[in-house]
Amino acid sequence: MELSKHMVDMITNSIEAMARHILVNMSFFGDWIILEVSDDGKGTTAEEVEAAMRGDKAPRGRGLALLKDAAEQSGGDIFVWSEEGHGTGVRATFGKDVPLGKVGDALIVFWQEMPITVITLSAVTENGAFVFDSRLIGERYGDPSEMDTMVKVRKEVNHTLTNLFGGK
Amino acid sequence: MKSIADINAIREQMRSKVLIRDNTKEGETHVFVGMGTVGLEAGAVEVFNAFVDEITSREIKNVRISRSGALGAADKQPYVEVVLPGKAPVAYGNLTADKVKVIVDKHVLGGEPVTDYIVK
Repeated sequence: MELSKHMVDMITNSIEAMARHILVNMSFFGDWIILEVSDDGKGTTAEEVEAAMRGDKAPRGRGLALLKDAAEQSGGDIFVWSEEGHGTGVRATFGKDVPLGKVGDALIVFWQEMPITVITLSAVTENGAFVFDSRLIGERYGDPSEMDTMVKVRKEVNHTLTNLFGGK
Repeated sequence: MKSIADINAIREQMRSKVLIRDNTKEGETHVFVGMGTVGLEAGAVEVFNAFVDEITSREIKNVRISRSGALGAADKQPYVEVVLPGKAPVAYGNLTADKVKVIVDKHVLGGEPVTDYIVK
């Protein structure tokens, strides 16, 4: 599965954990791509994180296990930290051959939730950096209730991240 | 019997879904795209974006497209529910971008569900 779709899975977990703020960071240096998703949701216990990594259903679905498999198969690894009542963070490291996918297409899936949950996406590579913050949609892109604004965000994120990640 | 803590936990889990569903305005068609892990693997993001493309390129108004939690059986992914104003939800399965085009033509614009794609 492309990195952008793992990102959808991780953001979904954060939303289901009642996060008010979700920070996604993607970086690409040398031989490694790193995907990090952190939230201020309800968090969970170490036992539940382990269960989710094994692919047991509760409480984080199968997405975390898939992410772990994908990271490890590419030569990378995964680190998850979580504390009940405080939040969760996931950092997955991938080998450089893992496809990025269309990050803009993946990001706009959460458009209806952005007025409730702040989503910040940052990317940094050897080619430059980019930040998207859902609180600034009206200011930077246009009326959030218009679907054309969603399309504008999708286009910019797809275009910019493809360039930053060297056309992956 | 469930404890108060259990009930609160269930309420919290449902909150995000309820917020989205309550968001539908009067007279608006709402398309829900299931985004469980199986749906993602099967192409739910592509189907979501195919709806966005069809709706915006034809300048169709009063349609909202939302992510939903996991919807439908694993072998029916990508799975979508289309809710026209005042109508019961219609569930479609195994969708592709081509099928989305037909659903927008016949169901969203024409008001007639596409029986060939409905999940039985």
